[in-house]
Formats: sequence, C-alpha cells, structure tokens
Amino acid sequence: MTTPAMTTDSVIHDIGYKPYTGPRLGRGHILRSLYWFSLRAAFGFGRGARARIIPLGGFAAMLLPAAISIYKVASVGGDPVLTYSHYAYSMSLFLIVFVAVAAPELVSRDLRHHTLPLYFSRPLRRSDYPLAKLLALATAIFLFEALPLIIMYLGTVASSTSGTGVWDQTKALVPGLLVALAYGAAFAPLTLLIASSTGRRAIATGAIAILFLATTAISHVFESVGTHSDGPPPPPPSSAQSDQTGQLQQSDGPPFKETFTYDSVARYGGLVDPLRLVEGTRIWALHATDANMPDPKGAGPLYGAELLLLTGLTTGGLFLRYRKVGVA
Amino acid sequence: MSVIETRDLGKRYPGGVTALTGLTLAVEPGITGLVGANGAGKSTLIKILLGLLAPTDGTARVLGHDTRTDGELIRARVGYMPEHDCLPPDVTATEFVTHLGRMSGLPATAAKEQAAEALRHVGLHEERYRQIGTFSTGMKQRVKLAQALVGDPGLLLLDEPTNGLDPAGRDAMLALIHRIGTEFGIAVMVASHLLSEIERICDQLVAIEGGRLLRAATLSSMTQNVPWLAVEVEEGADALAAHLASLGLTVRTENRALLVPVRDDAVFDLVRDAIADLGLPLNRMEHRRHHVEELFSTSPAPALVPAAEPQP
Repeated sequence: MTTPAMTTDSVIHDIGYKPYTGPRLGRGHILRSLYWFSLRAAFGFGRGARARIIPLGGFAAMLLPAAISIYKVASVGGDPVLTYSHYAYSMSLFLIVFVAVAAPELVSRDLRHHTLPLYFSRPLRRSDYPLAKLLALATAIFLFEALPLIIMYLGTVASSTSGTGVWDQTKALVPGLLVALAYGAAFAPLTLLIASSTGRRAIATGAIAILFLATTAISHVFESVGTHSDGPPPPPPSSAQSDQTGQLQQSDGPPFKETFTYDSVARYGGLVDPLRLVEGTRIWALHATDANMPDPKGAGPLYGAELLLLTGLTTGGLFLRYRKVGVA
Repeated sequence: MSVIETRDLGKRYPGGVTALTGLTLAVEPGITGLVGANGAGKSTLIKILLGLLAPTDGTARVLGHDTRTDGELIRARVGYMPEHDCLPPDVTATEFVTHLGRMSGLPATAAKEQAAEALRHVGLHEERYRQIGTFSTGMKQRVKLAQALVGDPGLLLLDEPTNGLDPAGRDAMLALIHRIGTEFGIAVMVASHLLSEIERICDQLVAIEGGRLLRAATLSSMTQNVPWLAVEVEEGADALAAHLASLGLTVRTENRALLVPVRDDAVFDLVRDAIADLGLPLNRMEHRRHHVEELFSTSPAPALVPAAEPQP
C-alpha cells in the first residue's frame, strides 16, 4: 500500500520516484530566495521580454544624464550636467513610472492570481512575505537611483587628473547616495501598501502614479502661490506675508542671481508631496544650499519627521495588511 | 503511525458559524478520501492541518507535529493543492514550480531538479517550458499538483483535485493520485464532494457532514471483496433480474443497472448467456471493484469502525 513498488520489469522510460534526501533550508534561505526573486521581478526579469520594457526603459532614461555628463567632463571638462544630489529629484518622473509598475508587479500579481495560499501553505512566515517584498522594492529603487550616480561618478573620476578632483566628486556623491537610500526606504512601503490593496495591476499602477503626480502638482501650486519674485537687484524683504527669506541660486545658469522670497505657504507646501518630503529633508538634514524647491528652513525638522512617520506608518500598514490577508 | 491525528477538533468562526465540532480522526498512510458536501468543513479541516488556522477546541497532529505550535515544520513537509485557480499565466511551469520549491526550503539547484522531476511525474515533461497561461485546465491542475509534490512531501493535501476536469481528465488525475499514493509512497488526503469518484483510489474514507465526523472507514478489507458487475439493459431489466436470480445469482438494482456479485469467471458467461437468451438490448456491462456509496448514506455510525461488507 505505502511501500514504493519498484517496477523493474515494466516500463523502461520510467525511472521511478526518487525521494529527496538533500537539505531542507530554513527561514533565512526562504526569505533570501523570495527577496532575490522579487528584486529580479521589479526589473521585469523572470517573465516575458515585455515585462522588462518599462523598468529597463526607465533605467536607460535615468542613465542618460550620466552618459552626457561623462562625455561632457571627458571632452569639455567642468562639472556633470546634473549634480549627484539633484539627480533623483530632477529625474523623479522616471522613478514614479518605475515604482508605479514595480510595486504592483511585486504584490498585486500574487493577489490577482491567488498565488498567496501557495506561499502561506509553505514554511514561509506570514510577515516574511511583506518583509521580502519591502526589502526587494527598496533595493530596486535604490539601484534605480544609485547606479546612474555611481556610473557618472566612475566616468567623471576616470577623466579626472587630480586627487582633489576625485575627492570632490566623492564628497558630492555621498549625499546623492543618501537620497537614493531615502527614496528606497520611503517609497517602497508607500507604494507596496497601495498596490497590496488591489489585485488589479492597472488600477494599482494608476493609483500610485496619480498619488505622486497629484501631490507634486499641489505642492507646485503652493510654491507658486507662496513665491514672490522680486527680481534683480535683491530688494529688501518687503512682503507683508513673508516670514523668512529663501534664496534660489541657479548655479548652472547665467551669471545673475534672482532672489525669491517664500512665504510659509511655499515652505510648508512641500509637506504634501512625497518627493519634496525627501528633497526637503535632504536640504534640512544635509544643510544643502542647492535646493530645487523653496528651502524649508525652519520647517526642515517637520519634513524629516513626516518622512519618518510616513515610512513607519506605511511599513506598519503593509505588515498589518498581510497579517489579515485570507489564505486558501 | 498515523499521519494525521485529531482529537475533539472544533472550529467556530467569530460570528457564531461552527465549521467543525468534536472531530476525532486517525488517518493512516496511504490514500485517504475526505468526503463531504460543499460547506461540510473540508477546507477548514485542511487549513487547520496546515497550521494556518487555529482550532477553537481540541488538538490536531500532522506527521507527529502539533498544528498549533509547529505549523512551520508541518508546512515544510506537507504539499498542499488548493481547490481554486492559483497559477500566474505569464511564467513557465518550470520557473513557477522551481520558485515554489525554493519557498519550501530547497536549495536553488535542488529546487530546479525537483521541479523538473515533479513536472515529469505529473506528465508535463514536454510542456514544462511553456507559459502556464497556454495550458488547458487539465494541465493547469497538473501544475498545481506538481507544486504540491515538489520537494518530496511526507503528506499531500489535495482539495478537490478533479475540479473542472472532463471525465477523461478526471480519470487521468485520479490515476496520477493513485500512483503517487502507491508507487511514490506519499500519504495523500484527497478532499472531494464526490464519493463515487474518489472511492476507487482510496484506502480509507473519512466522511464529514456539517463539521461532524459521519464515518471513517478503511477500505482495505473491501479490496478483497467480491467485485461487482453492473449490467444495464435498455428494457426488460425485471425479466433479466428474475432470470439471473433463478440461476442462483444475487441481484440488486441500482437506478437503471443490475448489480451482480462476480464470485468467479463463470458469472460473466452466465450473465452474457442470460441476456442473449432473453434477447435484451444491452447498454452497458461494467466491472466494479467495490461499491461503498451505501456505507455513507446510512445513518451516522460511531467513528473508526471498519467498513462493513456491502450487502448485496
């Protein structure tokens, strides 16, 4: 009944059933496997070629400024066309497209095709599933942002002739990498939480894209409402509403300095926008002067706090989501 | 040793729905049929056995592990095939089963080998590099079985494995499960709402109804029972029955068929000659190994009594 019948006299093609005697690995291996599988999936690997078009196309677009910079530095000299710390914010449209596709790819698919019961009927722990997905998407975002910087760095350094040039580049690179890390840590839980609420990938993609685009639009409205251009020469701070003065120095631009004053609407307006949340935190935490947005100045700690809070809440929400998900 | 043991197992869902009550079971290795109507508690029982759902009363042990505390250990050694669709269409069968093999704890290369083996055993060796979306329903069911089989589990829990299959696909799936249970030496529990379907391949049957154990019985004694011959004639069934009875055979009618116990090969000749003598239009003659429908249609009996011989 239960003894494996070794049929030696019957079919020659059938080599029979061989019990598996190899190792069965534990939690670490399973978590790593799911992480690696999901990281590959974020860039469209593991399925058809069509799945790679958007992630790799977006990545190629991200590389463009780096390539131009390397060419420019090598042939003309000077600085890269985009600074390391501005890179992510300037190219944020591609990041939005990337996460809007990658996050649903990682979690909505399993909901859509009801694959979760197959995961949870295995030794995988309930919380290890969102953990692996979270780490995978955070890594994917980091790579998406940081690899162009590293390539630009290597290319620039290669044509650098002096040691101080290398040191300057390295000093400039570090904030860029920190920003990439912040994007990964903050956007992975946020977008996964949205994507894990629906099995329809198109809806999840749309929701993520709308979230980013709408909040960006709102914060730009706040910025323009709260910005008062006084034009050159720099006038005294005259606006009655203005409480602080911010300076936007266009370092790459023509040799004039246009001075803007920002009122609190502009300073706090970035708080509604996840992209500006990261950018504002960067300006505040790294004491950066090359702001791409109204310098939050006194509101800086608020940006940092909200970024942490948002990351914490969305991470918690994601784990809660998978504690309650139905299986079988 | 029992692969599954439950004692006074009960599950009440919040809101007052009772899915299982007082279920005491001991499932031996081999193939076990878990029979019950939809909503009888089959899926709840499977979820408890996998350690995914905590019972409200009683205990359950699977492969010697407590389902409450050792869920992970159980799930590492138990293969589960869900009832519903669970396959992504845009990956190949090999990639999918390999990935799930790794999720079961197999190292990368072993997962690849075991996935190829599992797909070969379910008969998808040739198609393993095709995307699952291009598969027929029968092939998809086989992929679902392969992902449960990957990594050589000690126990397979199959929830309605013949769902959605045509009769030929059903027979093939049942033959496959039978082969896994006998040749591969893996204990199998097959949940189904069709007793007639799984009784052919089971060594043991467990019937539940409304969350209670209706009957648990081993069929091993029955396999030595006299087999049955089902005869179906277009008309004149009564005349045939009378004729066969006059020849000393015990005849029982079931729906449109006459059931005759085959005590020896001469019975075949007797039946054939009887039909010929009466000149009846014969529709069907079918050999049946055993017939246990009535075992479960009788009133609930105490658990774990060996199945009585079917009365002719």
